[in-house]
Amino acid sequence: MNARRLTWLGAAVAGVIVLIGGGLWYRGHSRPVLPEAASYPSLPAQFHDHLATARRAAGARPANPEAVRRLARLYQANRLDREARTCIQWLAQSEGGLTAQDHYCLAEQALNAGDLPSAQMEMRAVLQAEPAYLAARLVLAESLFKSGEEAAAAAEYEALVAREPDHPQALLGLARLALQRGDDAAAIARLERVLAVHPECTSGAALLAQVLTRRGETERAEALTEWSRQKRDPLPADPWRGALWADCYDVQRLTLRFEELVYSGQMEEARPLLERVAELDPRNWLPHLLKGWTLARAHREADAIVEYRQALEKSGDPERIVPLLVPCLLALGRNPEAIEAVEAALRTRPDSVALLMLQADLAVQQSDPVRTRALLTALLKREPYLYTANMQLAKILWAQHEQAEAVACLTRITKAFPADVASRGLLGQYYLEKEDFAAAVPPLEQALPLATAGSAARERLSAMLVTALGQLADEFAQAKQFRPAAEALTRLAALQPDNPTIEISLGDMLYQAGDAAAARSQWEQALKLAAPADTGLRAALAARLNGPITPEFFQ
Amino acid sequence: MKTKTSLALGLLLAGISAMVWWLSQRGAAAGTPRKLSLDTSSFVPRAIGRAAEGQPWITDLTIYDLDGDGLKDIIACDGRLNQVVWIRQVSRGIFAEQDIGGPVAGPAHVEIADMNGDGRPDVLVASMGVITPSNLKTGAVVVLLNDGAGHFTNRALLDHVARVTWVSAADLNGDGRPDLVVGQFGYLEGEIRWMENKGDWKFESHSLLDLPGTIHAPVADLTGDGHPDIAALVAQDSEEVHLFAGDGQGRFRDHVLWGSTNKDYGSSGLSLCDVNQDGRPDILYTNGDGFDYATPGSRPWHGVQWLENLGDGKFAFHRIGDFPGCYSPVGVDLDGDSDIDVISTSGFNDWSNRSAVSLMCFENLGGDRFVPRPLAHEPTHLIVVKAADLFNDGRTELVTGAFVFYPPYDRASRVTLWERPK
Repeated sequence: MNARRLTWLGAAVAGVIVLIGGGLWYRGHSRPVLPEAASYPSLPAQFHDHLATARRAAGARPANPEAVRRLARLYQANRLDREARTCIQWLAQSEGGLTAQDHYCLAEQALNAGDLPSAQMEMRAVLQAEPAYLAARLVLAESLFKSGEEAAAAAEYEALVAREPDHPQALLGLARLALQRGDDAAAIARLERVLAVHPECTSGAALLAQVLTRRGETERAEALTEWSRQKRDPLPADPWRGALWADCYDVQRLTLRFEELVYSGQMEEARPLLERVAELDPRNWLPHLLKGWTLARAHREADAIVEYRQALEKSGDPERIVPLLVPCLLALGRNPEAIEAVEAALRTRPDSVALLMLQADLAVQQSDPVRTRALLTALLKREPYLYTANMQLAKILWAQHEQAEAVACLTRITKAFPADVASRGLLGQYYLEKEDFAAAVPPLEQALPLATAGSAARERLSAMLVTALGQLADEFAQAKQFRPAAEALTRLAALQPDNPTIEISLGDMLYQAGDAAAARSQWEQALKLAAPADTGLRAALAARLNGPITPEFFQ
Repeated sequence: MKTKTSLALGLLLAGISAMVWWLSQRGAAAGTPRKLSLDTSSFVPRAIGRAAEGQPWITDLTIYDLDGDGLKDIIACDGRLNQVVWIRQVSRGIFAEQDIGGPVAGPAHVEIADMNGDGRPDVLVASMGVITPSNLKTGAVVVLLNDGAGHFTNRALLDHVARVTWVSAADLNGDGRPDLVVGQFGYLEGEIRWMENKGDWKFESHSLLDLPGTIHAPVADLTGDGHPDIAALVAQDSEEVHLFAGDGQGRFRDHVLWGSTNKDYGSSGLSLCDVNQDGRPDILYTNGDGFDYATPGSRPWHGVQWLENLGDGKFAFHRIGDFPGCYSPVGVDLDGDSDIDVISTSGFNDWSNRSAVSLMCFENLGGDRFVPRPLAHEPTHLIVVKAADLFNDGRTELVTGAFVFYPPYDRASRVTLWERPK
């Protein structure tokens, strides 16, 4: 090999060595830097103070992974996921690497971003380190379910049940999977087990109610539905996620979490969150609103009123506060204060339908028909289809013998509420009294099937409809409109199928309408129904059937 | 080869390459249509139909030429009036509103379909009965039958059920008759069912899902097997997108495509669109509902996403962007560059902040990259948007409906037409 070639070879080897050495050096010395200092306008000053302290600790030399971990948690708790992820990337390259809780944070970030596969990968890393952390397995199972991976989700739910046989969320998940397969029996078995051990699992009650309704077991379904309305399911235990709330400074998230816990009946866990909101933002009226709301639910109306008033003093929205304040005042018999509260709110929100409705309700309770009528009329001009307002106004007008005006209210209700019986019954009654039988029939026919079978209301409606149809048929007959008369009698016969008088009348109308064959059929039916002792009726029928038929029959 | 010759050849080759590249860039520029702007001056809003009085509640609308005169109309659900209204384009750009059919309690969704085979478009209406939260069985499906002379008559096809929020017509079992897909949001109870059309106005219900919270359930062949399938968005703590894969004979298999473990995710809207133009319908999906809890308004996780149809019933999730309070995703080429952009409204933003966006376009830059382009900050409380070439001039107009539920009310609207400036 000559000198030139040796030189080239030496240079090449040196270059390779330099490249490898440089790469190793780069890898050893480059590490994700911690997030830049930044300001977050939606977060309060207390957060920024805490952040500054945490950043100083995390940036100290020598590097302290635990300090970086605390910084990551602070970002994570306030949903600054990008910054939290940067901290965790730093930790990944530190001595000791990532803990199970770090992977859990990454999983939550992935869930927030909708990245279910990444969330599943991270949760599996959590479970590898902490196989007994059931909250992680539940999240994994649910994210697999949400990804449509039914078999994998079932395996994780089964693994949960293997560790905790009555785990409510796992049993619910397995029940849903069974329903997706079309296996009602398996689903019902799971749901029954959940409710036997965890009666507070109201979502299980609601789901079981639906399945039973579909299968026709309506009585039990109704009871379960009623139970499911009491409160929401308790939130599953998750200590790692729960610990993050201590570092949360986001007022909106804290109030949402507070409400979630209240709806689930977990008051002990809810209360500290509200106190934290009040501490973070003393000018915020929401904590007073929410506190008042929870006190009212516990029937501590006097204390609730104090909180609502404080919310108003802090410039809270009267349209939201006063509808909650008024029932508390009324419960304590403080009616004048309730009226004043509504009047004051309307001065700032004159167009608020909610407040106008409240004002009208109060007037009704004060039994002041003049004022009530004025308020309801004004309200209905703005919102013509409010049920309660229309019904209240209709009652006032009816009592003042202004039935025609009341009818306008009732007609609006029938237009907007297809299932309402009361308005239709009242309309039928009105038209019957006016002897406008053609107008009486439609609302009564609509109302009858809606009324509860066997109820007094249904019997009353039936009686009114029988009267209306009978009179209508008479009117048509006298006007020699035999076909419409026959139609009315047909509908009447459907209501009273065993009444021979209706059948003979129907036959007579059909004959005069020119349908002799149909008439004969009705007379034969009437004869079958006629009592043996009713000789007059039987003779009349025999005369018709044997003929000849003369006009005198129909007089 | 001599050095000078090599150098000259190299320079020549470089020059030719540069020239070829320059020409290709010019050709691309010439062939590419000029993109239209996407910003707050791109569209001019104009109220159409009845004036907005008080706090309007438009719950849905659709664009269709209802009278067959060649001019597209708007058919809308008015939750305050309990009425379906026809905002008819009486001449190009001129609109007049009239009520069609009798009252419908709590109308929530409207679709056009010929239900009686007479060749005239009828109007299917999903009726909630009561729009505010209620578990009462006030839901109904109503068809407004078109007599062809501008008159419509109500006929109830289903009633006294959990509140109905979706209805659409499709032949699901291949017998030539339009069946119905019905989504019932309900409240504590709800369901998805399909109603088999037996003829003579008789329908037989088949339950598909026993859960409350259904918002939208459109029909299309999503699996590529030639049979109609149903994509359904289920909210109310489930927060899932379901695929009911059909076999063409009325049998369906339920499969969850994607869901959020966040029960407050706020699923608000779903539509079908071939976003990546690969011939398969994809799913557009918004989560912007902020109605629950004592603090109605936006959440930090609200936004728009799409589920890419990979074929064989498989879908991949892609987040498009954040958008507080968003509703009503619509895929349309809004800037004229031949790809699909995504528009969305906001019904639950922080309206006391004047810079809150009420109408947004996510401009498609290709490669699954979307950039948010605010189109408007007012009017506020927009719950639905549809896009169409209303004037048959090759330009796309937008129509929005407002659901004004919480204060402030100072920038309310009812039905608004958005046109490009002349």
